[in-house]
Amino acid sequence: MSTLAQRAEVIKLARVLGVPAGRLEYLYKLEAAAIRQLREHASASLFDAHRKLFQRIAATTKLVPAPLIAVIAEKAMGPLLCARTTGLLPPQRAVEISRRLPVGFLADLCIELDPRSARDVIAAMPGDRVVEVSRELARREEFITMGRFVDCLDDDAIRATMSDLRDDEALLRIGFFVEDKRRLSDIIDLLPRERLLNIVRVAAGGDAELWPEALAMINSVDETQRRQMADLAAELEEPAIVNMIAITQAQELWPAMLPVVAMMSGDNQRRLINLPALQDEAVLAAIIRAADAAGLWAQLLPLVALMDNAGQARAARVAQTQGAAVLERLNHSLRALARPAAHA
Amino acid sequence: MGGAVSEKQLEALTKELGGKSLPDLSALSAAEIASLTESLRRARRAQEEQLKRAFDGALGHIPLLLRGPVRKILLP
Repeated sequence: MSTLAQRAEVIKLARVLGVPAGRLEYLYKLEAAAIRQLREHASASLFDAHRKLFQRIAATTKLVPAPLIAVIAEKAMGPLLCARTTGLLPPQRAVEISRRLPVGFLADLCIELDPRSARDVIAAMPGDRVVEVSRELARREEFITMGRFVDCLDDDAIRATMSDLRDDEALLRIGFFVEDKRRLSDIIDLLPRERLLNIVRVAAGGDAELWPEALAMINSVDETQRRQMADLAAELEEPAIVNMIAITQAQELWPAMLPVVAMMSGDNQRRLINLPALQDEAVLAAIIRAADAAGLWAQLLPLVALMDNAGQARAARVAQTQGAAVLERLNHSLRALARPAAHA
Repeated sequence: MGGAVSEKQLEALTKELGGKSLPDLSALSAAEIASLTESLRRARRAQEEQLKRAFDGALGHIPLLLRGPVRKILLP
């Protein structure tokens, strides 16, 4: 099964090559990083193939008035060639021309543009123009494109775009495609607590595709934010938590989920671990297997300690059914955890 | 073409990618490497044709007075 990161990279490469993404399905056999490298090389190679011509196009924009350039850009050049030329324009000239272009055309251009090749132009774009184009891209559900731009926009432009874009599922999906995870952390810092809570609610209560990606995203941000998002997930209404547990169980995501639960506050852990959905024997068995396979006993055992008596008895019963080797590793981890306490 | 990837095929792909080092592509078959190389070749040709059309189209929009200097920059 292909991951979201692989699918995003294949779509981006397909755009560079001007082919339908379906024609590159064989690339799902590669890691996302390898597909990304192919895309970066392809993009640079296509630019280099006609670099001089792009430079000449950029040079003529100094000679011809901006309104006429806008007409030529839209009627003769089209979004792809404009995208390849954008990074060669003086930023203020690019802004001047963009003011005269329809939002739909600018959105088409953004889809073709490698934002890193035009950082200065993007940074010079006025906030209202950024918001208008973002709105159009969101309407087209161009979340991959939007995620790429996040790396190049400043906080003010991001803040204005986020406050215009009220759809939290769209915001979450854009977050999956932000390439620079440090930038993602900056953006999470810009979100008010209520908005972040709702984004976590959408992720946990949504379809089977959202939660695994949200979980990967939570595990990629810094520790403070990971703790914050873990607690927000624990504070959700029970149906959302039950949905989150069901998806985690169905997709065998406990190795990614256990470290998140381990970051929650003690009260939240106690509430979560004693929910009937988590005390289901099949769920407990999957959690124990995940802890054993991923070496997460140190995260799981303190959670078991927070279970009520019936829950602990059930967990012990389930553990007994997992085989002698698992039990031995469990006992070893129990002794290791008890040791510091014994010395204290 | 479905079998082992030849050095020659990898060289052709490397050339299309501007001579840069390739990532690990050992999971791909010879036919897939050939298909990727062909897609790159076609993209380059398509860009060339698009540029040619764009130049012709652009000149049509430019006032007569400016057409000479612009042509000089675009097609020296």
